[in-house]
Amino acid sequence: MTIYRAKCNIIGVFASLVVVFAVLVPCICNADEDIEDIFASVVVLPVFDINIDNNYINFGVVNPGDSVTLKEGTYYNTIKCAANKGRKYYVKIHILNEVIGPKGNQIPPESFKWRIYHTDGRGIAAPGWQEFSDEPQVVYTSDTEDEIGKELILRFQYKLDLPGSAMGGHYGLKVAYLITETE
Amino acid sequence: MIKKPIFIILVFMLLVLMEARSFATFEMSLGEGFQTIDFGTMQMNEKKSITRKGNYEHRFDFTSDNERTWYFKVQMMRPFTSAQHSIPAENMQWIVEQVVNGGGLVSNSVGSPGDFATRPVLIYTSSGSDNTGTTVQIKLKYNLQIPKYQAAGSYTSHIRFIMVEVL
Repeated sequence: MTIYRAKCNIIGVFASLVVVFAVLVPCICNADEDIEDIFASVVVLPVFDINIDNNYINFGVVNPGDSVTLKEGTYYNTIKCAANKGRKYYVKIHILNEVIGPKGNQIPPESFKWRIYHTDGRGIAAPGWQEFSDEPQVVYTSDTEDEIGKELILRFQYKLDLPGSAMGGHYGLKVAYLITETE
Repeated sequence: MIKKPIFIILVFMLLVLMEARSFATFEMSLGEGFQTIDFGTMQMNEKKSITRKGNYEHRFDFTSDNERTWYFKVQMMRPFTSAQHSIPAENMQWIVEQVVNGGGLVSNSVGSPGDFATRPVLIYTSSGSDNTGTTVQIKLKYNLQIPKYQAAGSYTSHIRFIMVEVL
């Protein structure tokens, strides 16, 4: 009976030591820490820009019935667009004012054609030769990469198919390019 | 089961130690500067340094008399984010402009920029009198580089400054 009580006492002391040190040791050894939270902010400004190196399309002297492609094998002019609004945009083209040609001679805008020779964009580019019209035409529809600020490059070729009934002479066009969020 | 006197003594020891510990000083505070780091408006590809308190943006004050080495760290908890767009953490940098009363070591040396990261990054390691009650002041400034291509918007980020005894 005495041996049993002594054993109980030893176990009791040991148990109490375990309990106390289990609380004490982490308390003493636990490293201190102090934190300060701060919030940071920045406003990235929007960009919606288009640059054209040359918008005068000069075909020179063209004879009736001739088809003239400017800078065949390469491109005639370049436009660069930058937009970072995170929204879809469209690049459009249209003839500015009237066709430059012999006085008193009117030829339909469809006689003039354009095509994208090269683009580095991954969006939707109009395929092949396209006829000019009185209304702005979609040249290119942006891709998500274009919409976060990546510069878009579009290089163009131009062609004039002068009708046989038209007067021969010097022909040219002034072309407007626009960047818009409206299709 | 447990002898009463032994239990009372052990509990008393525990209370004494906890009380003694509560008198130790271990604190970091924002001594000077704003609770927000506002870079204002920026263009794509622009780099800006922010130092609204003269040649620095924040002054942090550190006091510890634990006689143990402590570390000053910074962590970008969330990179600059606006809707689904974000600016990588490493596009923001911290620069220790000056250490006052500190005998420790600046990780990147004074004046050299260090990149923020989404994990804790060490700025300063205490030494000597830093651990015996001297108040150390560390002045910081920050740089932000907007990527070459970045969506427009209002971006916010959460930055945590940490004083800790674990490296």
